[in-house]
Amino acid sequence: MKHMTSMGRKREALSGLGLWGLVPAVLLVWLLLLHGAWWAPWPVALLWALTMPTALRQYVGGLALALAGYALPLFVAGVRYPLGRTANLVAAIMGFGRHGLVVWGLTALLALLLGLSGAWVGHALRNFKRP
Amino acid sequence: MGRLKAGVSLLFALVLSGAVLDVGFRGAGPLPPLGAAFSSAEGVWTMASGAGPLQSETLKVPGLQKPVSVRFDARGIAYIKAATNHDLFLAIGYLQAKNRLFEMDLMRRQGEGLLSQVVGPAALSSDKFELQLGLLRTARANWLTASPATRRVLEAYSTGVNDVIRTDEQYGTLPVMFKLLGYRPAPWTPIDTLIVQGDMTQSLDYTTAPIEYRLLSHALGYRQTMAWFPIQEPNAQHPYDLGPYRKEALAPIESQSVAQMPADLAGGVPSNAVPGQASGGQSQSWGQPQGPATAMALEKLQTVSQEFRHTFSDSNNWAVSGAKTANGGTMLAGDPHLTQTLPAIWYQIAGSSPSYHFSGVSIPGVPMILIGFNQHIAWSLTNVQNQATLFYQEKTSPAHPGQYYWNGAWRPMTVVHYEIPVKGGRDVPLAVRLTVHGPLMTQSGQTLAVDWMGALPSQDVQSMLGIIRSKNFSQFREALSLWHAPTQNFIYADDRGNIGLISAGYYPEVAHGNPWMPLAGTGPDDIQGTIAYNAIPQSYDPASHLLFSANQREVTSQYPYYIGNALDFFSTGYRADRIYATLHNARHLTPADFAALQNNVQDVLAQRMAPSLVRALSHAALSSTARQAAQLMQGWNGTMAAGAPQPTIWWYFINQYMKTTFGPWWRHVPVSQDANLALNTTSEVANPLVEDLEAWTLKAPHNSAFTLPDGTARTAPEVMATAFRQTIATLSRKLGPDPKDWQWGKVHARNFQSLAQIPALGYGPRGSSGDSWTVDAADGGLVSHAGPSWRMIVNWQGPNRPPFAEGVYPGGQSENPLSPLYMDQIPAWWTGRYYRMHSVTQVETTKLPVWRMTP
Repeated sequence: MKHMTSMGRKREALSGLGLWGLVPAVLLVWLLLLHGAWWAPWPVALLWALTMPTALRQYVGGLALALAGYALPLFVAGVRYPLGRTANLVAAIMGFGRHGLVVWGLTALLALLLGLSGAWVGHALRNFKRP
Repeated sequence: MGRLKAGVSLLFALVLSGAVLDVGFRGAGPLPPLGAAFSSAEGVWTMASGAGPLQSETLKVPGLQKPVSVRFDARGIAYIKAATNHDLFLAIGYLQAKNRLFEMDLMRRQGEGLLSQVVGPAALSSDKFELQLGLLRTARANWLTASPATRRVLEAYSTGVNDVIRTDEQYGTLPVMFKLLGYRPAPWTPIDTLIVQGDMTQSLDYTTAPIEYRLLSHALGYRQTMAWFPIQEPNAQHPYDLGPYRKEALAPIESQSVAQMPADLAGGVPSNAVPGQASGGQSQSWGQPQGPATAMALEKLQTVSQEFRHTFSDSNNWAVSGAKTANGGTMLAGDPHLTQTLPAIWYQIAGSSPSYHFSGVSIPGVPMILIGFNQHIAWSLTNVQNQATLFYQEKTSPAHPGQYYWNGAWRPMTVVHYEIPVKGGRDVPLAVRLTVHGPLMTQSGQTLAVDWMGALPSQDVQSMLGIIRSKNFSQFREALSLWHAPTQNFIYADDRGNIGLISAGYYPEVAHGNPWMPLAGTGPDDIQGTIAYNAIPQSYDPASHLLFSANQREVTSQYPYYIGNALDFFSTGYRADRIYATLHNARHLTPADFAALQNNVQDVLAQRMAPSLVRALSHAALSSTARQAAQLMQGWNGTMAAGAPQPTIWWYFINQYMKTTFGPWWRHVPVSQDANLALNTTSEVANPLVEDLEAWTLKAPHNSAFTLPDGTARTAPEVMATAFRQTIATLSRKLGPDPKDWQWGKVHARNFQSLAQIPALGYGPRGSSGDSWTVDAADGGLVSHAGPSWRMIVNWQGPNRPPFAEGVYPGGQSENPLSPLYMDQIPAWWTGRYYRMHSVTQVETTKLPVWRMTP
């Protein structure tokens, strides 16, 4: 361990956070989103937290899967459609001028809050069961 | 202890989760439900998918009987080919909903008094007004009396709309406004279509002129009021129907009671049952808002209601026979003037089915074109402007609460109860009292029963379907016999060389009383009937080879019936005068000539009065700036060009002239109580007052109206000079000292507001030519928001040959502001250009994106 390279340490850290387990979680969020379940990050993050051993993994993983799950549909849509213009226009409709960052921000905030609260419930449940 | 800590942590986690999910489902404060609105897969982001060009698709559309193909040209004009009539109307519903669902929903909400449900208390006054006036009651009565054929059309159309709603719900692709307002559209019903029909009827037909007459009469005295606001306009005009006229017995009018008191309304109309009940007893729920929706930019939605009150409906249409055209075929032009919004009021389609072959413009929510052409005839509309609203002062007594005296007995008023759902608040109860004349309403401080022809059943859908199927004038005329409201000037031109014009609709006649004032509700002043269809204004193949209507009085003073007065609400006739002057001696006319006339911005009033103004100023003491301005006016021909300073001087002058002349008399006129009485060129009193000024200035400069109330004598030239000096002072302060810099386009603009009143979704304001009295009308004052909403020209090429046709409207086919079809036609409209209109068969072989719809 003493001689572990920097790259190796990163890989271990990521692996410790359950990086590869995140992939199906993110895909699950995406799939649920496509079926109208905008709240998908919450239960997925909850389940994620229930299965992860440490608080760091529970929270970081919960936030990550929420953000990534929400980002994926936008990434796919962004390949074909002008999401920047969309955000600017929605912001204008909402009365925020053409500050599309507000719309991006609200979308990210929604994902983050869902991921965080889901992970927190999972974390708390886990602790409640095994204090 | 550890377990307690974990328990507290769990509790807080659940509280946070609850809060997040609550905000996601229901929104918070001004924010919409965040979940539905900002889901990355189904929220507002789905609007982006409309940014691309139309592409060929295969769609499964439940309810179709056979496959339907829809081709789209570069502007998104839909060419529908259907194997059955049912499928044609279903496809129209599908396409309109696909492109204008929010607009359609807004229009039905407007008429059904359900705006508050999505906007909040700010729209309550609008909802109360609509429920009192009774578009919903009328729509239900229309449905009850609709023919089976009409019902089939409306039901097929509704199926098409509901296919889109269902699909959009399923895939989360509802228009963005639904997501931001936080509600889902209810299923479309035939009643909704009839409500949209009612919206248009109200916009074109409903006025309060008798109330204005009463208020003016109180302030000025009856004699003076009638001198300044006479029955017959004081200036010379050009009616299209010159007689001889027929005097026939009045024809009966549909029973008011059918419209106003349908039995199944006795228990009131729960807000969530309105559309469903009306559509034949099915229990369907109205889309409820999910919570407090965004109010930040949408709070102005309540002002939508204003657009449905009659303000500016100055339309033009004209037709000439082959003797006047270059190709020997008849030629027709039409440009209805309505409030110009984005999305526009029109959706352009062409359709083909076993019984229908047409091309033209439809109103979203209504399953057919209103203006256009088929294989043999073309038609367009303008508003007749006859008096279609009568007001009754009911006799009531504290001794007979809830009753009114009519035809010799005290009668109970019918009371209809409504609960108006209000976003973010409790339902608001509303009780509407109905007498035999109509609903009791309080407007401008006057509580009167409203007997409005638009509240009576009118089989407009059946009539319009008949027009679309017509092959000749007799079929066209037969179809129009069903049309009751709003009264419209239907102009006609066919492929066999005939032209015609029929001012179809109800013309209520009373035996006693002055219908331009509120009438006594005790019986004798009741409406006796309508002018018989054979006797209403109409003309067919006149010797002049020319027919035209521009909201001017359609008939001369010899016409043997009362149809309205100068205040209620015929146009001044200046546009009609320009049209007549251009066409009556013209020969070898081409579509380009018609286009030039539709885009003409010469103000006839200015043209007539400017020389008098110049003469009046020639001996007046003027400042150097005023003198320069007066010199500019010399030789000016009244053209209201954006780049010229004369229109600015003229416009400010005519407003000031009106104020200087009538202002001293206006001290007791309750303008604050009724804005229609304001002394400016955009108010309702303006039309008769400028006609007065024109007539007196040119022919009676010593008219007593110029004399001040204290007896100080003035003449027209003196008042003009005074008004001109005030005008120049105003303009100098506003635009600087050099009159050459006072270009019209600096102070006058057109503004196409978004339907939801969101500036970012609108177009303009942009400096513009024209004014209220030019053929290319710009209504609404210095920032115009109404004018030509569609321009169309059809030139027939001979029997059984497709016409040369072109059209344009200031907007685009899509309501998605990201779509390239949102406002793509504005540049062409603005510069007076047109797009070719085709029939379905003309595009069948062209390579266009096509939607193949299958059952």
